[in-house]
Amino acid sequence: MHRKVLTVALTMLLAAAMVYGQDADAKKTPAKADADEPETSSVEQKTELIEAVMPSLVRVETWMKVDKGEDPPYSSTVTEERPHEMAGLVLAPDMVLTQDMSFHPRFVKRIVVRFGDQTIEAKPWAYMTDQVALILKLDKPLPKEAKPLEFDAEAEGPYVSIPYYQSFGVWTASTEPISGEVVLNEKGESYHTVKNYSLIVNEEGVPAGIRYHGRLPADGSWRGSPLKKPLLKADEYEKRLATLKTKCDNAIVRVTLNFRSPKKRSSSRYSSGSATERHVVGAIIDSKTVVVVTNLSSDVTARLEKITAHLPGNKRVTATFKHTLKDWGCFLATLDTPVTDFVELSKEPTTGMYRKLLLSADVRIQGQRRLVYYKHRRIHGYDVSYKRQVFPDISGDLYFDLDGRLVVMPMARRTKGDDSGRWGGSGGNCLPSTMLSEVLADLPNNIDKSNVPVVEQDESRVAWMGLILQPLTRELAREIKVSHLTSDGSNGAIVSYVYEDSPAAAAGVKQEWLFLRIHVEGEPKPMDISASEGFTRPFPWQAFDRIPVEAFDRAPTPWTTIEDSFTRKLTEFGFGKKFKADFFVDGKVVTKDFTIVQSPTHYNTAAKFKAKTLETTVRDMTVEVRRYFQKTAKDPGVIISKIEPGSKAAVKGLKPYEIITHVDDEPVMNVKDFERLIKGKTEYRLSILRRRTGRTVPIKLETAEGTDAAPDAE
Amino acid sequence: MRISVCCAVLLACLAGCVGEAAHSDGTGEVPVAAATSRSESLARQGFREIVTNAKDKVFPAVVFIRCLRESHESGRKQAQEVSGSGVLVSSDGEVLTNWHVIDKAVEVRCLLYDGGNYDAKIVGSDKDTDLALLKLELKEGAAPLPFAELGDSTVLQEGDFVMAMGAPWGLSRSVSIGIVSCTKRYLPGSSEYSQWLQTDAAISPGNSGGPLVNTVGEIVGINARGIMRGGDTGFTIPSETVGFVADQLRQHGKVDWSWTGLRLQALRDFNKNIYFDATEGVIVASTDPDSPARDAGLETNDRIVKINGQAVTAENEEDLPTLRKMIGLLPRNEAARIEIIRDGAPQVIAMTPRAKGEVEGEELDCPRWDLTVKDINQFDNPDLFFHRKKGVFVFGVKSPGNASNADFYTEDIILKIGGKSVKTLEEVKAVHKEMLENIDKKHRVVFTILRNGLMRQIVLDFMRDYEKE
Repeated sequence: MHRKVLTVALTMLLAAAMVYGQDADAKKTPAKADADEPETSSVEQKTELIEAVMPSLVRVETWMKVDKGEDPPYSSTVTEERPHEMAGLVLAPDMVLTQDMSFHPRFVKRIVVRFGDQTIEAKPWAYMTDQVALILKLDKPLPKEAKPLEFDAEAEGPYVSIPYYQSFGVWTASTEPISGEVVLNEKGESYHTVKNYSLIVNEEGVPAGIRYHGRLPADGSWRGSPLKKPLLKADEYEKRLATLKTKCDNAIVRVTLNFRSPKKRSSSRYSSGSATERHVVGAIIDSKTVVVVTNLSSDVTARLEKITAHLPGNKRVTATFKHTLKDWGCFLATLDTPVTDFVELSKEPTTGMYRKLLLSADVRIQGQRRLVYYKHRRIHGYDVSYKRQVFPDISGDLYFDLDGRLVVMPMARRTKGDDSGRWGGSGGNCLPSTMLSEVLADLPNNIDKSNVPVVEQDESRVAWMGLILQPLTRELAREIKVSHLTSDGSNGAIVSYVYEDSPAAAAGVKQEWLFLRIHVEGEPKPMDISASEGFTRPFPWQAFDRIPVEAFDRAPTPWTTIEDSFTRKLTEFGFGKKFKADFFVDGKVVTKDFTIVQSPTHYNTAAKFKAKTLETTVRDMTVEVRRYFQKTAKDPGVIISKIEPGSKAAVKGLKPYEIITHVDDEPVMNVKDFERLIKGKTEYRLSILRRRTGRTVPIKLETAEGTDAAPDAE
Repeated sequence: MRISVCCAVLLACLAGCVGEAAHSDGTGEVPVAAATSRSESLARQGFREIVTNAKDKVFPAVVFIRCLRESHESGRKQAQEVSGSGVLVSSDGEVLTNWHVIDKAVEVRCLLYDGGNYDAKIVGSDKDTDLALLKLELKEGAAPLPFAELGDSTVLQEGDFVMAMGAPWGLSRSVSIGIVSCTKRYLPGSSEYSQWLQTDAAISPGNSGGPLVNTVGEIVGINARGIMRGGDTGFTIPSETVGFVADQLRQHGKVDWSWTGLRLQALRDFNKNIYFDATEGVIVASTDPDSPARDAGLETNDRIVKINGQAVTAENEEDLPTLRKMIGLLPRNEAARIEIIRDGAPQVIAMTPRAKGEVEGEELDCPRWDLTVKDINQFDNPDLFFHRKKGVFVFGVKSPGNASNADFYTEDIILKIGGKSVKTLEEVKAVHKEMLENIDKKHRVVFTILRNGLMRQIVLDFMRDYEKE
């Protein structure tokens, strides 16, 4: 989709540039004519130049088609019942050179070459490896009027470039000067700039060469017939694609990731992070290493249990998690059984591959199916990005050199707390093989130790500062005069509550302070506090009796949870990292030092016990639960977290979020106490608190608790 | 909730009863209401006559009441007209009705059977039992008014014929007939002291406050509520409670309930399959913080067997209101002797009840802010009291209005306004007044509130006048 929009935009841009060029020329030429008399004669000369090459100019019409529900590039030409048109140069009576659009054959219905009123079917015959051009072979020769270009590599300059294009619906050729001006870059490359995709002739009209590449080398090496330049013939091209396919079948594979079921957490229940199975792309880069391309956040990786690579012939190889790369949306895994087929990483920097012919694989993992389309591609530009590195502009495909070495693959840049889709985030994110090799050579500095699978007990661990935050609003920011510090209230949060014995309390953070941002060591950018706040209305205690026990699984907890978007992000940075937190207090910014530490056990991680006889699960009262119910650590009680519908406890009116304070007047301080106090008994009394209101529930059982098997986990 | 049944059903029901009784004849004399003789007299008398006689005795005493009340619930002071029914219980113009009919009334007008209409003043009211006593403002030397007498609700049995009277829907007086469906109905969550009579005599909106009358023409209850969907389920405050409360209101203008903070639990609960191993007493479910019961050392699970020497037992939930009433009437500031069983051993505990005091906070309208506030009251807002023993909370948020735009919710406890802490309505009133006087200089203020136990800040911009015509 993106690609399509991009190409359309690009086309429009090109068209606009051309139109602009036209206008500029139109203005420039007469002005020049007025000012400089001798130029007037060259107008005629130049017109002659164009007229001379006209018989060598043809149009290449590519009729696009829809393939299995996928729109081709330039899909509007399909509905508008017209071909995609490009200029062509006649190289021989049955040979035409044209711009290489890298169309996949599945989208091409037919290619015809138009000369005047005549059209002749054509097929690709060869691809130029250093120019964005391909040579078409025609089914039959062009009419006699067509004049094949006779290139003379020795033709003396000065030169003129003659592009051929459609302008306001009219096919037009123009002469464009090739100035003697030179561009020289730090790599020592010197070249001229000139309009692209054009024929270059000297002033006598002798074709000297073509320019189907961004640069015209100043050394004149561009001169000569395209037929004598490096070419990859179509049959050889097909062979190489076939070799690449075999290679990719073995080494660019579907990897199935299996995750432990997430805990019930209303906050992320419906997010993509809760899937228990994912199918992603894996690139096997040596006999045992597979790069699994998926940008998992640490809470998702935490649940990763099994990695399986699917090799051809229904062969499955399990793999073991190794490392998550710190900066890239992938992790490394080691195949449990080594393989013999893998892709080699190219050692050539992509910067040297500008507009060169490359092979590509468009790999799609659609559930359990892997679908790959192979073709060729070229790199048309570069961006300077992360840590001054130069990244090629690529599509969503994997790029290979003609020998099948992996040049670059699409890859999300890992930003903390982000969990994106197939190839991850925004377009253009990619990992060139040379960079991957550098990363692999220096793993200790390139991995994220906090993004690893963990045992179930550690899964819900989360970092904290010990704060409950109220997000700022624009109105509030303005009224309390902090809009200049908070982008007019779009970030920042008011401290609603500071937990006792928390890092924030130790640092002296107080209620009503304004929390602005944190600076985590090693992170290039401070993170603004943008606390998200879900449901702020009070829990419906007045309707408590009418809430069916099963509904508690779905409803948010009455208390503010420790795990929220802020603590989640904090966790992503990794435990042990140091950070500075900025607060705004009494008209000035106060900075406090912190270390990312794990929160105390919270409701999701609290010790629990399921009383089988009662079909009731209780948990220790954790810090946020105690805050909500205004209980100190000395107050007895375990909180009911689950009651099976229809169970004995449900009939007796017990409900989740009620607190069991005593069993037979013995205080219950934790779930172990509870387990001990009811063990072996068939009759006992539970003292229940619903918030502040107490009652006693006598229990009479036929079998005593703890007499058969050990209790199940919830 | 208080509303029920529709007019047509009511009339149809009445017509059916009358038709059935049409052919019988009777003595025309109404015998005294002795429980034993009632069935005999019913057998002797024609049904129609019984109905007619009973009706004729009470009908002239039925009063149609119209009140102008001031309410703050919608976020501003708002006057509305409400109507209900009542019944004259003395010749000098005492009218019994529901508390909810005259709650927050600033003006009470009564229309009598004979067309005479009078202003009335509120002698007293009790929210707990939903009863109120009015006094018509009669002219000097006015003729005595017809009135009905209170009967004995304790002798009623399920199946006894009763009539509900009133002025439903603001129409003229009407009567509907039915039977007593249940004599001891316990409605959890409603009045803690009341046991209700349940009847299938239609109780419609506007019937509230009207009398439930037995076949001898005595008031056996004051109708209080119907069930919207329940059809033939109306609830009536039994005359036993009515008589006691009316006396209290007459003397003190309110019922001076004593407060102990004791929460009780019955010995059996069939629905929840809960049975304690005891046949007498009542279980202490819990005690309120800072309450006489807690101070006295009563604990959850204690079984109270005697209070001041009198045996107390709540076998079922339905028995609780009576017990609560008894405890609510214990003399204040005087130690009561509570005999309990704790861990199987008897103990005696002295508990000194205190005055219950106000059961509802005062309300205040804050125009332009477009919200109303109310004092936190322990009994009315236990949830808020839990967080702040004293303070002011948002009672109503007008919509549309400035507070509503600022995202105020009802039950937000107001801690500070513009950095100044407020605890009483007076303080809020003063800040409000000052802010409105200076609205040209400043029309935004930060409220610090407590919602769900958590502090928040809210900006209230009160520039816009939502009351502008």
